[in-house]
Amino acid sequence: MTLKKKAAALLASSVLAGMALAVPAGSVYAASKSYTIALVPGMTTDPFYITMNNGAQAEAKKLGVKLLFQGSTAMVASEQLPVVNSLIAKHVNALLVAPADANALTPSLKTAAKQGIKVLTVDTTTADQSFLTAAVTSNNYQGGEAAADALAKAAHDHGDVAIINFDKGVTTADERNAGFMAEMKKYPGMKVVANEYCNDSQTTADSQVSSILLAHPNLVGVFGTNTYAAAGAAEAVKSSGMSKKVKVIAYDAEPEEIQDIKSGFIYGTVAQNPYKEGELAVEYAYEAVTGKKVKIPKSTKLNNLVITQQNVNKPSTKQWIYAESTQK
Amino acid sequence: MSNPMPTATTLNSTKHQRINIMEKLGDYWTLCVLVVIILVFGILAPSFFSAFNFLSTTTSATEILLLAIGETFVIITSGIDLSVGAVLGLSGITAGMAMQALGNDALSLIVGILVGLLTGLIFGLVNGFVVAKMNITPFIATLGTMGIASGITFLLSNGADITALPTPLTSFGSGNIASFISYPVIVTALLCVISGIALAKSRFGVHTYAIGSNQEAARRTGINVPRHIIKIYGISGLMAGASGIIVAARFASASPISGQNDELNAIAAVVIGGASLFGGRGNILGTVVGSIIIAVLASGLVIVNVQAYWQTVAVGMIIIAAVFVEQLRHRNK
Amino acid sequence: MRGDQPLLQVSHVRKHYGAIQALRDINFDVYPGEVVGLVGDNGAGKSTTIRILSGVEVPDGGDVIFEGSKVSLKGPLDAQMLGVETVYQDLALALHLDVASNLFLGREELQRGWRGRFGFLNRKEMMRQAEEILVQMNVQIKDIRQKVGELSGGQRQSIAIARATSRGAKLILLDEPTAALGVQESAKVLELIKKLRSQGVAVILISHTMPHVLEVTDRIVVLRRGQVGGILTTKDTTLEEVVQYITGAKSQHSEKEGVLA
Repeated sequence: MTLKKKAAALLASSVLAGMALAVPAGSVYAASKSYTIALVPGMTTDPFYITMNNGAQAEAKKLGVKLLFQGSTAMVASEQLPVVNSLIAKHVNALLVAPADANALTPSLKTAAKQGIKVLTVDTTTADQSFLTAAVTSNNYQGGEAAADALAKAAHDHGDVAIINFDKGVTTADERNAGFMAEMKKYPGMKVVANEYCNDSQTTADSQVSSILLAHPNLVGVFGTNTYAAAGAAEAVKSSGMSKKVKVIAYDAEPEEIQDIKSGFIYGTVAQNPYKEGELAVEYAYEAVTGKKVKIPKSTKLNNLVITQQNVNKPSTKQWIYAESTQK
Repeated sequence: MSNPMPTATTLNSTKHQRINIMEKLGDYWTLCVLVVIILVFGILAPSFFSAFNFLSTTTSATEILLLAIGETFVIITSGIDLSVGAVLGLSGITAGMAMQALGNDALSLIVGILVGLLTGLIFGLVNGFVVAKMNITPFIATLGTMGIASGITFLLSNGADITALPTPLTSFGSGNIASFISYPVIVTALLCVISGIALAKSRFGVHTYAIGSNQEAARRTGINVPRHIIKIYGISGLMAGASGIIVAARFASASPISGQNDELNAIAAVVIGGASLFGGRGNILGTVVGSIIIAVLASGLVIVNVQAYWQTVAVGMIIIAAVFVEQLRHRNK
Repeated sequence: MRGDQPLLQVSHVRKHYGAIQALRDINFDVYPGEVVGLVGDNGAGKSTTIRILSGVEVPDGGDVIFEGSKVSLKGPLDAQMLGVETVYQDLALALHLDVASNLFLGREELQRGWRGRFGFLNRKEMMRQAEEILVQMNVQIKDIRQKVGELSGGQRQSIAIARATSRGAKLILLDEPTAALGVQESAKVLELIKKLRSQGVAVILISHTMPHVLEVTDRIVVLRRGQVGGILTTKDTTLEEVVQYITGAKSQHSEKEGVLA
């Protein structure tokens, strides 16, 4: 009985002690003099955002500011909002957010702006941008165009292509789609025969592309607008035995995708530049916070690079490949 | 009472006293944990005690708490409702679609709210029917309706958010009194009080505990057990509907992914609050404490700059500790 | 003790489950304020008889006559309406609820006025009545706000019996009330049965513990293979004789045992 009671007390106190210990000793006091900028990614586990964090951390170090990286493991507004709110309560100097939803965070971010916190969006953004200091993102339209160009070039301007979108109603997805569709019109020999949505599911993309392959024997290329869409498409192409004829273009440059390009599983990918996004966002935030009014552009769109077997091993490509872990 | 051995009697009585302390502490120990957590965060980061943090933490707690209220009723009857998260998402979408269709006026608001609540209620009643009349275990029944609800959510919404919500709804969602108490918190508190009183003071409440404690006994004393169980799941569905509408109001958009995994947090809140999954035990006050603990950990860990992953670690440890302490208390009786 | 008219008459009751003839031909009666023991080997038909009398099972044939008129019991509630309460071995108590809540389970006292319409309980009145019932039945419980799960087996048994009487039962069916109890607790339950008799409540007691049956009953109905093997007056019989009837060594009627329906 006493033993059990002790065990219970121990367990209960260890929960609290564990939490207390988990707080890095310096973190509470360090921020007193210098500036603190917080980066809230769409999700903390995604190589894209990890790479962005690396860029942001490097810039923060250069500028001598403290950068916090806090977020949720899923790209869901309801999990992101408590994090954002807590950072507002903490009263950081600037907030860099990749909103999981174009509207959901707006009331909170507006409150932050009212309280004097500089709010910037990175990657995704909000529908209402009136309160934003700046929005830094990839040029998704250009990414779609680049994918179209790469497919047309690979097919020598002749054949049918399909696009598998990862989601509907997400700004980045829609822009990639629009860029791709517009650019394809420039190639008279090419025709877009399918425009599907896989809802971020690899298996859905797989079955969609399998059906498309049966319906359109002249298919020469598929553009998957994110990692999952592309991976599903590539799986379908591979199991149909048409890897030679049908080229798959993916999005993003996660280490696995680079591996897939080398092995020929996918033809190529549109690499964004999250590292640069992170650097720029921190730089703009710093300028805004310190009041150094070196004209901060309201909206910045960074161009992308198509990586294929031709350039995958070039030294200049290396910096475009996303990181798997945080740089120290 | 007529124990012939005096030594045994004294032993018994000291043991009894000790148990009483355990018992007294037991009823409030999660509340103590909550207070300690708040103090620890407050000391580590004084900004934790800001009005804004109070406002945002209590507001974000409403989502889980509303589900957890319904879940408390269900768990007391020794059932479980896994569908609440999915029903939350579906109710938000049906309410949002109704409001989108009707435009930006008061009628649209009222119809939308009714549609959302009705969606939740219908799913709840279906759960109850499947459990009570078709004799399918609650876990399986609500696992099934969870899949059905989330499937319908995506079929209706095509995966897209609904953002054309009436202005009164969204200003309710982001509104507050004195930058301290938000409207969603007030509504949630009201529902907590009503359901707390119903559970503790009414015949409905006693029957709920009786069914969870001994369903056969309840049946034999003339309680219409199936009908009561259907009502209980109906309440749970209704709460999920209410939560769906409030989440949509707060985020100014109805999202099909709202509520995902919320059912597990709601169950965690109820269990931390002292309810037993075997039925017969649990109360609303405990559930409120459990829900707030989860919300406070989420905000506090960010404020003291600990990786948010620690939240699930801490919640997990508290769940196990909560059940362990409850076991000690009840084994000693 | 005996009134002129039997409270309960069981007449030629039959029941079969598939090919098994559980009850062939059961005949006995119970008078108001009489304690009747129902004994027999496993499978003799005790449980089936109880289930029929409590309305859980419907007989295939024969009559159950209560207070002079034929009744058909279609469910447990029918039996309870007549004033037949059954206390099963598992007691049917909600262990997480307190004594008062258990005593009033299913027929709670509500507040007057609008609060009652909303289902608000009148706890004070329930407590008062509970106290009264327990005093009347001579059941000792320290605190009626205690949860039933915290009480001893004997106390629980007493509460289950008290609940049955408090519902205005004229006949209480007790299924093995002393089976799980120690000597002292058993004695208390037997006292309670005697108390019921003194209040004019009839009791049918099913038990394997013959000394208890002999101590507390007025008559003993011995069942054997779905029939009544004998009806004995307790004060004129002995343990040995009862056992002889149970095993079939003795029988009051030697007719047509082999005839199958």
